[in-house]
Amino acid sequence: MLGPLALVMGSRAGLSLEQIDDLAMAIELVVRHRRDERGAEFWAERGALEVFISEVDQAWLEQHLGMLAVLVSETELDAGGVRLRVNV
Amino acid sequence: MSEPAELLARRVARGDDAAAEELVEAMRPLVSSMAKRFQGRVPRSDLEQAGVVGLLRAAATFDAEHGTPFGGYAAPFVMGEMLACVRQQAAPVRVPRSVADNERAVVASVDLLTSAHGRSPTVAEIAEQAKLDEEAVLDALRASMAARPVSLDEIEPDRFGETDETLEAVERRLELGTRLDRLDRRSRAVLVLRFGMELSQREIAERLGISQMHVSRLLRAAMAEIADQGEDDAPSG
Repeated sequence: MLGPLALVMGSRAGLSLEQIDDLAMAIELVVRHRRDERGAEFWAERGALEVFISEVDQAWLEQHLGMLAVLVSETELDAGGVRLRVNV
Repeated sequence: MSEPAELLARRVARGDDAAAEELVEAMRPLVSSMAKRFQGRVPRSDLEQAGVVGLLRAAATFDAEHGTPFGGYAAPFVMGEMLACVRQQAAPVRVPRSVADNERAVVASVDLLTSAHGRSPTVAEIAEQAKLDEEAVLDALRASMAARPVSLDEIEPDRFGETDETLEAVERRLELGTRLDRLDRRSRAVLVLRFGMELSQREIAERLGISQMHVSRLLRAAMAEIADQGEDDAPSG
């Protein structure tokens, strides 16, 4: 569900197809880790898209920051979740 | 002597049916050789028919003024139609024909734009190239994201070129333990190229001789496999 949303929001932000796809993969990686319910919020602005995913295991996140860093421009652990940002 | 393919394509774009027949005949060796890559998975006649659709799509938008030979211009269209044909026949759920048609146009446009600009295109650029509105492009991309990847069997093994060192680097980076060992060699290789060597999808596509969207599906499948293994390995309770 979040992949198609990233597609629409990424398109609005003017990201390239590859950037949108990499972000969608990063989101899938995070939400696939544990299939519990969790929240996700998107912020799109011209030239950037940010998504915050709540309630993510911080130890797991720290282990996977290297992989996430290949997929998105910025990764930040924040309030029990993770903030992923892609800049054009 | 027959007319050059570039001139035939120009006539096809003007609606000349006789030229379309001549063009298909002239380009038959290209279509046949590309169809061989998928031999055994889909009837050859279906692949060649898909290839002809790709050729005619290419002819409709070909511009000889750019100096690109028609064969080089048409190859991504032909490949896109053949991949779509293989995928549609293998897919458990068939997408509506209109979406499948748009998906092929989108795949061909992505390949063309990527090759022309040396970077991945935006959705707006794809829409302009494919002559579709952005909603139709997004629908086609959603369908493409949900599709199963075509196997890597058609790619020559030596194009992967992974080494033990890069494999170990990826395992360390991904904190995978020995999980990479459980993937087949080619899925592993795609992960190594993306996360070990940090090549972009476009660079991987160039290296393996496949489309960027194909690389995306392969990466997605390999990552899902790893994530699923992680779940299996996680202590229960």
